[in-house]
Amino acid sequence: MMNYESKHIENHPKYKEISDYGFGSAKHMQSTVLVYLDLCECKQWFNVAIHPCKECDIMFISGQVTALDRTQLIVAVDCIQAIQHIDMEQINTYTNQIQICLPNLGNQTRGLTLAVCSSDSTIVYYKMTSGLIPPENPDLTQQKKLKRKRYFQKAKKCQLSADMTVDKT
Amino acid sequence: MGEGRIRVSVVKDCAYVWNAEDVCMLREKHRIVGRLVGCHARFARQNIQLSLPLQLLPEETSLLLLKGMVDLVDGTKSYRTPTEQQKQALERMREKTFQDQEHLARQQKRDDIVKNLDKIKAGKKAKRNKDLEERRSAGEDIDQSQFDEDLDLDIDSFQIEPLRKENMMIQIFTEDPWQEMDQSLDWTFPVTEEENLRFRVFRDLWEKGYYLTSGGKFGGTFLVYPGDPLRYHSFYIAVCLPYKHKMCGQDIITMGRLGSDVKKTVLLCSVNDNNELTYTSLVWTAIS
Repeated sequence: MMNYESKHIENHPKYKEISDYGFGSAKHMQSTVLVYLDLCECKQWFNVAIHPCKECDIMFISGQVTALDRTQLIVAVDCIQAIQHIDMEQINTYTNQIQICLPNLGNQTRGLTLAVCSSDSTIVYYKMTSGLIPPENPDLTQQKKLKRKRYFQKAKKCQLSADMTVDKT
Repeated sequence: MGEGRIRVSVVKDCAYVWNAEDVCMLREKHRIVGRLVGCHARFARQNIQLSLPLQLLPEETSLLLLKGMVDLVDGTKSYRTPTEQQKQALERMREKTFQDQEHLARQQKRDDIVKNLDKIKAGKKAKRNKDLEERRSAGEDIDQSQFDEDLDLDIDSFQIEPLRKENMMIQIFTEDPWQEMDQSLDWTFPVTEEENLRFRVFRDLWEKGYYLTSGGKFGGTFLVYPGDPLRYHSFYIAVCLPYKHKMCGQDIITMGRLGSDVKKTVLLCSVNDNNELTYTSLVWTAIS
């Protein structure tokens, strides 16, 4: 008989690996592994890795959207976890010094992304950057929207033709 | 009171600017937007287009005082029963205005006569000729040359009716013309820690060249514009938070969602332990 206790994420090898670091709450570790799996499996990012940061008592995740993109840094937090601006400032300070901590990280984006995880495993990502970052140009937003629409239309067409091929056979 | 300074009228801790030229100067020269809160004189009974006075935010007032651009006066004195001297001054002013209007009206009528002199001559000639015709019909001997004779009219001979007092135009003041100039008021904003934070953020962003207005409609402290709000959409919703104020992930999403829906960046503003202003921009990212 299968054990349905909700501890499956704690049996994941990555969870066991990061629990060996010896810091960070269980909630934070769970959220981190959840985001890690989301980036690896759903978003299909490249070079996703988890890094400990003792000074901030957190773990952050690094990865790239494509192999040629800049590395992004992500911190997972639980939905109801209390955050202070001081925490974000500290995290921002340490991410600015990340190249000293991790020389292999290479070229990275400015700021970091906060991944807010809720109890049903929904993850929402928000980019946080020190300073004043103006919003995206509306023309650029429109272009991206059209590009996404064309991408989904193409994917749908491919799927339809694949289904028809299967039906014929 | 300083020369060239804008007069700001304070009533119950609310600061108002009543002079239209000052309102324009505040916006164009000093990037202070304020908000018009008065009834429009020509379009009453509607709230779409409001008019003077311009109400200033407490932050705007404090900034203008700091920069030495304004003088504060007690606005409540403008609502008191006028004194005998003020009544007499008003009467004298109205009498002088009437004299000026009467002179202008007379001049206007004279100009109209000059402009229409040919038509008036033609009209008078036609009337004269009609009389001559009637006299001729009655048997009188009228020479044809009298019909053709032109009229020579002197403009000064025209009787111009003077302007009556009940027809004069009266000015209704928006700005108090007898504001006592020797008053001074104490302005106490900012006092609390929260007010100090708001003022510091306002001042810093203003000094960076932005236009700022109240951010209440978007759930923030200020809206920050790269140019005049009439010409640009705002870039940021500034939210002032104490440095150690606790937020949960849900609060971050609430603020971020609001910003992304209206295509603005949410700006978290705090003063850190080194007494420095820190800004953190919050932007939704399309990873989801």
